[in-house]
Amino acid sequence: MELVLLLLAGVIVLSGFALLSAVRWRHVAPADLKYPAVYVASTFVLSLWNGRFAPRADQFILPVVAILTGVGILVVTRLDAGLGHKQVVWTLLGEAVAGVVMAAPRSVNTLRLYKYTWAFVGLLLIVLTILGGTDINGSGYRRWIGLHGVYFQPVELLKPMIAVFFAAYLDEKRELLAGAHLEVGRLRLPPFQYLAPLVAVWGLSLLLLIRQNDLGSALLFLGIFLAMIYVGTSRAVYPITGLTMFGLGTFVAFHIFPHVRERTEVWLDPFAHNATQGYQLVQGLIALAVGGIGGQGIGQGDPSRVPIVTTDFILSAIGEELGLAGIVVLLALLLFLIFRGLALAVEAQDGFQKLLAAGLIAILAIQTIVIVGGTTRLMPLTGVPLPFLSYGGSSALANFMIVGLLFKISTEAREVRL
Amino acid sequence: MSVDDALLVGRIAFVVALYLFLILLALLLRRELLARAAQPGERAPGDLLVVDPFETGLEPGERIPLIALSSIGRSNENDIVLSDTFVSAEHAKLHWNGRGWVVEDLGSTNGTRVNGKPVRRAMPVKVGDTVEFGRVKARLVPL
Repeated sequence: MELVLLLLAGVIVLSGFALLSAVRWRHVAPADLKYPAVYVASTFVLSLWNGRFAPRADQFILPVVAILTGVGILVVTRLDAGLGHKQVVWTLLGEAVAGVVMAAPRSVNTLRLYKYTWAFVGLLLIVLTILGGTDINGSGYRRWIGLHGVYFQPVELLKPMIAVFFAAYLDEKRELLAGAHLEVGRLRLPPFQYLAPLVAVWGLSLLLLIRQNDLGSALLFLGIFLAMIYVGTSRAVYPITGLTMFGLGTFVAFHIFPHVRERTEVWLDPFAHNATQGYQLVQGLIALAVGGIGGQGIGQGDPSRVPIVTTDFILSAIGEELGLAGIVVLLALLLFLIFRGLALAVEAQDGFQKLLAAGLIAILAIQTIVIVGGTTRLMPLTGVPLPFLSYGGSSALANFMIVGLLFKISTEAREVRL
Repeated sequence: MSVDDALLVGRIAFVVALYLFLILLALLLRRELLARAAQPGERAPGDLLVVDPFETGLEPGERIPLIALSSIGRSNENDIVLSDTFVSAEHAKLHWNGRGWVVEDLGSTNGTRVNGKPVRRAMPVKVGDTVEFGRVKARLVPL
């Protein structure tokens, strides 16, 4: 079944590329299909590889990921053929990572033994980036680490690492966090002494926000943590407290830091800031408006007017060329993937694996909400990639790492039951 | 057909194909989720509502939960034990195949009937049908 779905996904992706080629040259140039054909072939290799190591693993995740990634590569290629080719290479690397995770002989639970290592390595990467990183796009912030001309964003790899750490920590302390109380007079408060990580993460997210001007990642880490603690304890007090603290933090940041204030003002009225900070958002909105319901057709719009369109604003390019219809179906596919992941969390037999699946899915879900909300002006714009669709090497690696872990969790859940 | 017409058709077909892919995924997922319930021992989406209990000790209107493969009979080995003299030790099997219910008589002395019709081969049962095991009467109801 997975192979049939993959075949369909491959046909759809390749015909998209054929269409793009025909728009450009008035006929289909076989050379334009070389990279996408390699990509489509790689999805089959990954599927066969999974079939060999885990025949009972989930059959739906890979086809959905394959079609989303394929459409992502298509849109990126349309915007910048060179970047599209690079994205194919990153995707192949990502698939290799997923394949290795999948075939690893040990259980996912091995990861929990090294929970502090993951947290430490992740944070070390961030500190290194702040101190010795490179600012490759002139944003004024060092968010990349370069090695021989290849740059990556450590914050992307921190996402799955932090999810592993949270899952291991929460699974150990779950009873304590869900049950015990700290009595202060008549108030029954949760046991805050076990919440040192909550405070640490809150601090870290604000640090990211202020030091790196990376509100997107800040929101993401807080969101993952709150989602996971809620899944682990079913106590609403944690997300409510966390969001209140974040609200207070941003309120203070709004008054102290000019760039936070500026961003809020751009969100409230981008057209007033069209000449300066609002330009990107305004261009993105215009692209969506030009696309309308049906879109201009792939290769037939002019989305390259939007700055940073291949990463943060990929949704605007999709909206201009595939229209609302295209945006809705791609978001529905992402939603399908998210539901599938949550179903896996329910299916998993082990507390750590349940929490990990929920956390990994939260990474994808929150990124989607933050960037779709940002580009459509539902909330202040913060740059995070749209999972599987945006250009980005580190993001592709991280996303496929997530996919590999989800495969592994689904395999183990089904082996236990049989 | 000119190149422009072909491009127009292609561009509409591309988005439509994405939707068809999504719909296919949803249908396959639905099938898988339903089939999953067909593993023996798992709770299946239905109950037996007791109508005429006779000597079984059950109450009329009582619900008996069904699993995907429920064996029915007088012996204690069965998933559903009906201790009535007209029920055979291994009387019948009620099976959820992922889409619907199937009842099978296991060669019982007094027979199994669906809406009064004797069950000879395995036959489908719909929600709302009355099933009789010997003289014990029950109705298949949704959860």
